[in-house]
Amino acid sequence: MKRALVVLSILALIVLGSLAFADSVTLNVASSSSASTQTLKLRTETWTQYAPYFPQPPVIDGKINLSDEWYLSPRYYLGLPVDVGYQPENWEGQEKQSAVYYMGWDQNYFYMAMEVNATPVVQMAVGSNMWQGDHIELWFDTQMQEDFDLKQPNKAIFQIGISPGNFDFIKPEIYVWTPPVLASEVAKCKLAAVETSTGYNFEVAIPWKLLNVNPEPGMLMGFVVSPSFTNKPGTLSQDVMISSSPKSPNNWGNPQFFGNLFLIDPLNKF
Amino acid sequence: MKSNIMFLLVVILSLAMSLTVIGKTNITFMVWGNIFEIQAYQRMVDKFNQSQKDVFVNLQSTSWGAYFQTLQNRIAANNAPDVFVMDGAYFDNFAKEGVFYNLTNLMKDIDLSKYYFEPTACEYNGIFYGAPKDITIGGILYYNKNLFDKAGLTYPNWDWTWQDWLDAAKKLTNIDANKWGMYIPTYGEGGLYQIIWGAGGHILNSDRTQFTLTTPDTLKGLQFMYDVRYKYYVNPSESYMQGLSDPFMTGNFGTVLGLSSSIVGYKSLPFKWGIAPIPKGPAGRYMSINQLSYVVSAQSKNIKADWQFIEFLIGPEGQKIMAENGQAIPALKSVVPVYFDNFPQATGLLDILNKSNEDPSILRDIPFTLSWYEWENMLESTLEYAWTNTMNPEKAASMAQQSCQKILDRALKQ
Repeated sequence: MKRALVVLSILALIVLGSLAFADSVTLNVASSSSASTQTLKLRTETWTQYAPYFPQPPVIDGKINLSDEWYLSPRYYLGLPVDVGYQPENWEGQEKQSAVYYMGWDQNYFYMAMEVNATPVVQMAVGSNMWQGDHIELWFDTQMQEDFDLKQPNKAIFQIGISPGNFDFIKPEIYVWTPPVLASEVAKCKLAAVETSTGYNFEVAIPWKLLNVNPEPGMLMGFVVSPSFTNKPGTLSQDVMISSSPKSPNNWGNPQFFGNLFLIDPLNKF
Repeated sequence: MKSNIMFLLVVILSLAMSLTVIGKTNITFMVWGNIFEIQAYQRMVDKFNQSQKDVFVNLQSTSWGAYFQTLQNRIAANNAPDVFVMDGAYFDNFAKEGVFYNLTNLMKDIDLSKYYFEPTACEYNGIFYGAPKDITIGGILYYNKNLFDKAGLTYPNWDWTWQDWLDAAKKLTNIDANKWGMYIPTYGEGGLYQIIWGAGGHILNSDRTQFTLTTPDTLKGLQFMYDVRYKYYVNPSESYMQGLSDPFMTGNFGTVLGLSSSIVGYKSLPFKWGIAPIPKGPAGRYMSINQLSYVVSAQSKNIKADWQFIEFLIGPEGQKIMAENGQAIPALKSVVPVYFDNFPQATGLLDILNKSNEDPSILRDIPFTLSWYEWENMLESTLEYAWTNTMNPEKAASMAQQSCQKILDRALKQ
């Protein structure tokens, strides 16, 4: 019963989110820390997504357990032709290049799990070069309200790459392209990836400290998640990107093209 | 009423301007650049246009990122610009595809001894396709005078060897305070080539058909780059700092190898800095010289006017405008001092250029080949396995050798 209510409340939020796709929106929300309400500006002509508070953190092992660990999260799918944001002419279709993902958070981490269809998985590069192989690109605009009119990255905008590695000598890794950060801070991320028959799965926990964020329910950030694919084994090339904000990949770092991400607490456990 | 008069005036002015262009040979000139570079090009074009009765040049510009795609699209659409700026990375491929007009006969009147001239960026198979525009010196040593003064060290000079460099770097490094003695970039022109050359190694054999990444001397250079990261800890490993595009600008690095073009961004740094040559390796001291060129499209119908414009661009007047702008070192040697008026802190670079006039062997050209941009990317990405300590330099070099050779073989066979 409780789980059904949770699902219903998430569905209601998703319906609200889809309204944001249609129009320019400001939202009055109750702040968790005070009785007052605040007005939030939302990006429009894009998607609004929700990450629920996790009372119990998921085990980051690459095995995505939907019934116990990720059940609170909406299921987000990327794999429709409209999701292809970069070089659609290279897209090999949803069976070969698509993704399903889940999100959550607690006081310490932002969590994401993803099942990626990527056949075959192609990744030859490490570190800052990982963009030339299969990887996931995340963007966070952590001061979206303050910098709402910004058109290029500043220190509050994070571009993070997640590589599954090549399941051989290249290990799964995370790289922050912008802003400059100490690798010792990035090393506090937890990441695990496993190869599957159709691509790879991964689970990641990104410390809020890395993003300089104090999370709380109702918090709104700019957000994009873009799985990137390299089509030909043995090559270094970014061939196609699908994205939660398909206009974002062709407008590098411009937060005007990001989506909205709400941190929510459907169980009131925060 | 007032707006109607304004409108009429604008129409009349536009017509007048059009009439001045009608009857002239119009040529298009395409470049890439930032706002300051475009300003310099515009000044050159304006100056040329003012001096011409029969030729009018239209400047067209894009960003660096969009340039070669735009160019290729226009060439495919038979709408190539008449004159455009060319980079050595793509030069051989474009020349092979017949994109350029053969300038050999026209270049006969140019005294190339007065220029810094790099055949790899202007010639293909012995035919002149490009006229020298500017130069970039790679592998020069930037040093932070404040950090040297604080450590009580003398500044780098022409006597410095790799050992002197390492000794100073050890004294300059304080990891807890995030202070580092050196940074050697891992891309070819920035430091990789020059370190390999200093060790006695090479990227390619002399006819540029075979990679030589696993020879003992080349490996010696790669090992040095690995050791400063993981044995001596004086150069932060690639896994120390992420997202840092230019370490020198942080003020936390005592010495950084890099390109001469960086001085534009260093002009207003809040600390004192200088430039020295790369320290001498076991096999000598070598820096790189790279060049941009002006080329004429094979599709152009106005060769005479195109060449007239290029003669202006590479002549004293055009080169001086470029030098005064301070965005690039002109190829015409006599104008080079004008460029350095912009950069009083860069006397060390002028010193390197003057020394190279006496001993040209200290400057080596970039090993451009067909598909250079493709194998260079593979080289950097594969050697990155060593710089991130994923594997040792020998193993990474072996993988790079195979992958890069495959790309070059394919390019040479096509």
